[in-house]
Amino acid sequence: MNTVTTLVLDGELLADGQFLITGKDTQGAVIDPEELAGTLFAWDESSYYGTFLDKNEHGVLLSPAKALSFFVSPQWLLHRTYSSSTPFEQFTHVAVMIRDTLAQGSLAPDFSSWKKGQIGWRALHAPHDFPEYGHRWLSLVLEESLQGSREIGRRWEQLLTQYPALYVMGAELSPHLQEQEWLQSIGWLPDTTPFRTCLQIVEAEEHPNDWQLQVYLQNREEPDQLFLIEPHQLTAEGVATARIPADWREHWNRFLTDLGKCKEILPWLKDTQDKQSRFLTQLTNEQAWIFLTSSSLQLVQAGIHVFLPAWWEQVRRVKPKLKAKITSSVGASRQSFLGVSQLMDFEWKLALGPVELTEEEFEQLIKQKQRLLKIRGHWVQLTPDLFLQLQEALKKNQAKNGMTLRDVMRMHLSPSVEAEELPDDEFDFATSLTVDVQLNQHLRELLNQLQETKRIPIMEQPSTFHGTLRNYQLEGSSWLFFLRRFGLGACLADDMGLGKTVQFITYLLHVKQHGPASTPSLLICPTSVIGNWQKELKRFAPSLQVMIHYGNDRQKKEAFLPAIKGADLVITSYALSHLDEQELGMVTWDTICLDEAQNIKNAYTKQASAVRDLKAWHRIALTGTPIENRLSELWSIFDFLNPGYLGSLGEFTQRFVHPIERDQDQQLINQVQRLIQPFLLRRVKTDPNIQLDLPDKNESKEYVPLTTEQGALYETAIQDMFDRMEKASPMERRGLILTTLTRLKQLCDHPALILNEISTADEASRSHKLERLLELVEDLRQKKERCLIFTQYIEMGNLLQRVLTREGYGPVYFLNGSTKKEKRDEMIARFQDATLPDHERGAVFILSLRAGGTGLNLTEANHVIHVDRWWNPAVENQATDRAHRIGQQRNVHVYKFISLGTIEERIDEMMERKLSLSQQIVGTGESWITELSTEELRDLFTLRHDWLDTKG
Amino acid sequence: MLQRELTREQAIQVGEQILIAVEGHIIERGYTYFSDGVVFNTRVEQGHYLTSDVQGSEVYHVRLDMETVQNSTCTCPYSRICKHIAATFFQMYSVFENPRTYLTRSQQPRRVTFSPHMLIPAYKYSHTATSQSHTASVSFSLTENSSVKEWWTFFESWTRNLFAAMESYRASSELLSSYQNVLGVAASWPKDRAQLFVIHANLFHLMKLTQFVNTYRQSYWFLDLVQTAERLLDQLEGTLYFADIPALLTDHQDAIVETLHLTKQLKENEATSLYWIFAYQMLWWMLLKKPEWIQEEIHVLDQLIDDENSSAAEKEKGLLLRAHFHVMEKEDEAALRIWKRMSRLNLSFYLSYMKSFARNGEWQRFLDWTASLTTLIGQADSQQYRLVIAIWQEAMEKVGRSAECGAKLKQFLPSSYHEYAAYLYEERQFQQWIDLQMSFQVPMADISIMQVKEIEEAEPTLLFPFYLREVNRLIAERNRTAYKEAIKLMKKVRTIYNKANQDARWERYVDQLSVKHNRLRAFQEELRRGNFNL
Repeated sequence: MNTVTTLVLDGELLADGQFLITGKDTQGAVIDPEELAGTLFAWDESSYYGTFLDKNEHGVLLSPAKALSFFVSPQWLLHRTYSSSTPFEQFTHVAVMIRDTLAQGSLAPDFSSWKKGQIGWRALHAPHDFPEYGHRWLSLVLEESLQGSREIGRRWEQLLTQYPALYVMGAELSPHLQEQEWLQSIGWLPDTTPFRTCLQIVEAEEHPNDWQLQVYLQNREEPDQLFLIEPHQLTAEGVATARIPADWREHWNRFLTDLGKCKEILPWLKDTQDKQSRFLTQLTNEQAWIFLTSSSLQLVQAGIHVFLPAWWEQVRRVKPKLKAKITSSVGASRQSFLGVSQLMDFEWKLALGPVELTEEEFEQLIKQKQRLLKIRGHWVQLTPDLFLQLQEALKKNQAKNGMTLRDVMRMHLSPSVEAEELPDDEFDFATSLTVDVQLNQHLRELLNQLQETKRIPIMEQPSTFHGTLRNYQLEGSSWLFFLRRFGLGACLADDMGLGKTVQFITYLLHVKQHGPASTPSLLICPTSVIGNWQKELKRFAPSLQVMIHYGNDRQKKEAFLPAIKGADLVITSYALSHLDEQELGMVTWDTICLDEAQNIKNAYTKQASAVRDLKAWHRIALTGTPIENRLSELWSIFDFLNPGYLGSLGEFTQRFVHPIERDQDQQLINQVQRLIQPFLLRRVKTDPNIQLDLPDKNESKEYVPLTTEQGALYETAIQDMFDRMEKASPMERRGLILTTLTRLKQLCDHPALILNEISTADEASRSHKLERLLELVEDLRQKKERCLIFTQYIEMGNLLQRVLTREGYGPVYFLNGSTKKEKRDEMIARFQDATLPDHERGAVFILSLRAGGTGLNLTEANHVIHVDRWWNPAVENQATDRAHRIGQQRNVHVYKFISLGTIEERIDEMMERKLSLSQQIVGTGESWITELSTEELRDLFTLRHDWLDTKG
Repeated sequence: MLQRELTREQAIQVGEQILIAVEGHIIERGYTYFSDGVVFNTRVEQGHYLTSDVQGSEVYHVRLDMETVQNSTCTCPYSRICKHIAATFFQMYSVFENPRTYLTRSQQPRRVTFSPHMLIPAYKYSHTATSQSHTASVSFSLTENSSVKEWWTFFESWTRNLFAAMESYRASSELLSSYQNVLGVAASWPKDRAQLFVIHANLFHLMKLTQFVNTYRQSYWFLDLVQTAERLLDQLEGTLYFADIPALLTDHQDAIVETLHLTKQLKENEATSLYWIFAYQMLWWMLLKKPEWIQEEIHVLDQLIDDENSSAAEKEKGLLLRAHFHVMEKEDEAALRIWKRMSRLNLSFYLSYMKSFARNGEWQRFLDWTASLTTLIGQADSQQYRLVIAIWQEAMEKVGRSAECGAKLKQFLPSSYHEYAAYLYEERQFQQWIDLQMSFQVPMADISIMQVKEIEEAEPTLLFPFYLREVNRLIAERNRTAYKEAIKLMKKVRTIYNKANQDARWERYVDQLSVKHNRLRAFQEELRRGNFNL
């Protein structure tokens, strides 16, 4: 038991308003901040019991609000004793006062803070010993809760809308303002004046420069009662003639003060030196615009009410947009090839709400200095900034001689469309205009289809295809063909084994069916698969004329064109695509297809640029690797498919690659995906639409180190073998090697197996394999899943059964050679019976590799663990197939345990390298090892030390 | 043959009795005697007695009562169950069971049950022991009629060479044997007179010791001498306790009056040493109980305290002593108010009073004192703590408040940790229990898995701070093994959050934890391997 010493606490208020809490023991040694946090916040849920509080090297840092709750009611350990320094005690004292202040709401906005440009509060009726920093603390607490709590934050927002004067602070506050007045303006104190001063702007009916500013007094009690003050009454003497209730007259001075404020605010009055000058009520168009856009807000903040025309709010909110209207003829002819570089005709308009203006119209109006304008019954505001932006945008979009399909698609798919939907109260004129592309009927349909593959018409399987295509394969070839019609390059990125080859072959057949092409198509693939393509083409589409452009006797120069005449498909390799660039460049190919397109991933290679330079009506890329996440590879492939679509590599890198690699910005990743999505078709095996027969099988190897105990035993065993081998006869030598081999492999499983220990308490800590296995079982049981465990050793099986039962995973079955048939059948029946409760059914099934490797059906398990390795992968796979077979509903996870540095790792390496030698001999079992030379044995057996667990 | 005459059940049953009644250090010393092979002639007598001879500083005769161990006797000066009785017990226990296991068990913290024996001073006055002393050959000028003054003169001449011997040899042994030998002088005196003589011999040696320590403050044997002083005081207390005080007061008036004067003179010592103060208080408390004497001494002390010429140290000493008379006059609050200011007074200082209250059945008084001295009790060594708690529980029961005991144990932390934890757990006050474990920084490995499991079923969310703190601690170890442990624990935490329908809180936790430790690459790796879907 540790002696619990008293914790001596000290607190300090830092300059930034945070509190630093430090702790020492009674000897004065500083307590580690992490430990301190764990003690003082032991029961504080919000900081995860002190885990996530800020700390510096001295102690714990608390925000003002956190500090308040800490000092008022610490959630610290109750069985420790604490003593506090004087400042700490004082903080506690002040905190309680602040809490009471907050609870009673006896606080007020602090005018002096507002004047300094920050929100601040003062405690009212604070006790005499309430320190100055207490007010600051209080303010910071309130500020924190405004930001922290959604509910309070929203109330505050409401308050700000109601009393915009709250916004005004620092230099913006009028120096004449008294605290009392200010408190009234922000609604803190009631205003006793019976009226409010109001200004109303009345729009010009006839002449654009004929705006009226009218002054009213409004009854505070009954806001509907308004009393117009005539322009000539806007003076001290006006009180006599103004038609207002008699008892208001004594407050006339207040009205004059308000007028004074207006004069300060309205720019056309501000410049006149004479304070007594007349209050201008006739406004020009420009003055009216200033009044609407800026002065009105200042007036409101100064406590003057302003009535604006109802339409103003709408006008203000209108976000100007550039509209590009595609003329209706584009895309109408369904047979014409477009390609992404196809130019389109547009009409450009500036849209301001319902009003649309052409560039010329706009320019005219700007020249007339009209800021506010009523067009076709709608008011709009026109600003010079806006005009500049319009010109800018037009220049940008028309610089490339009009827009191409590429631009249209980019705009259509780019995220600014989304940003526009965000609520945006204050339109920021500094941002550039958004361009709104208005598609015509044809383009809209095309884009919809591109975005949703399902809407593409499925074509029938061509009669010339030998064999039967799966549905998704037909979809794939139809999709390729659909994109072809618009000249859009396509990337088919299906998972390995889903038949990209047949889909392309089908596509070729479709092409041929829809009218003979003038030129052949070109397939570029790695040399190694040329033969495969040849075979597949012959098998599925014997009607296609295939020409292989490969080898030394390939036709060059003048002979090339005649050679390919009549061919439907020319196949060549990536290497030759560069070497024979000249020949291949002579033709505008019907289609160019890149198989294993990741070969051009490096955009700068000659090979890649040669391939990109080839001409074709349609371009296709096939790849089995998920390219979406490899951005530069993606660019390279897409630049081949649809040149220019993703911009230049530099642009693309700057805009996407760098930020994504730096921040993993999910929004940017989504943008890229949305851009490429129309041209990328990727299906994976697990896709439910694919309907393969079996779920996936994921194999993973679990490498585990030996414990020091295992390491020592391992070395002893080997040393022992070599020592005894020197004197052994050949027959004895074989026996010796085989026993040692068994010993070593058992040892890797668990040292208790060779030490003949019946049972020990700390089994798991003596073998990382066992430890890993228990973790695995715990994980998968947490997901309510079941597992099979294979081992070659009965003892290991027994040990596992015992340990797993003890850990509460029972009943644990163990099937081995000596299990009787009835027992076997019963175990399997129970394990497979989903109607039984877990404690009768069992979730873990241990099998000896030899007895349980074949013939059983255990599909209720979807995890297979191989505790030790066997030389022949086929044996392991067969065992795995107990679970991975017809009837299996889920993906099967296979774990193969390998002890690092040991014979097991060597076995694994051999299996991986697939050495022809080992393939031949490995199948026969372990006896081949006995024929190895001593040197080879040494290499095979010796423990590699770097993998030994260094814990011990 | 013990094996035939006794049974295993008997041995175990005696063992249990001893565990309840005897303090750990006595059992340990008994084991040493047993394993040194100094227990001889062990025999069963009358069916339930076990007698033996144990060779200590001399041969003591032990009679272990196997039915009621408390009634066992030994000829040594120790009044309670002594190491010789314990050694005899081991002699029999070892026939049936492994005594080492028993010893280990006896050394673990355990509850000591109250028995009236524990209130009685450990050393009894043994007339026979003094009669066997080796001083018989020396010829003395003293007779039973000599005055106390003559005794002290004799003591002075008797110990002429004592300091020289104490300097040259082992000081504590020299002093003790000087003391023990001088007792032989009174061996043939009437019992009362002899007891009085023992008291003075004791007092004299105690003063000698104080003097020696003051002169040779740097002495190598200092710690050893502290024990000697305590032993002398224990014996003084025992002698006073077992003496026939009324008889002394009436039959030996002159000597008592002399004792009174000597006692009063003790005040002249410096208060830096507490030993003479103990003796002073003991003498007043048990022997010099005449009201007029007491009033007179109070007066003297009050004068000392109020005298403007007294130094601060003098006044302090006066107050310290004056408080004793507050207690004698049952003004406990006043006494405690004075004493509690003096931080050097440890629990033993108060303990003799408290034992005395208990002996007199003044249970409420005893409880008032414990309530006032919680901090000292909470920090006392385990032996003293257990003694106090045993009496305290008895007192609580006597005043009908034993139901409150469990909750009240809290005030005696940290000493009461084990019992209080057990109490909280039994009462299922799990939050308090966890708080206690965390406050005491009990390593998770030391906490019973069963207990944690039970809480996990009853109120799993209480375990969050406990587990999270452990995770933090493991991460702070900065090695992979610890990270793995942390991940394991986090899986538990996940399960609890999940069961409590707080998955969102769990996710926030993992996210923030990952961010907090984003620079620990190995930990991040383990986090990923933990499948926490980051």
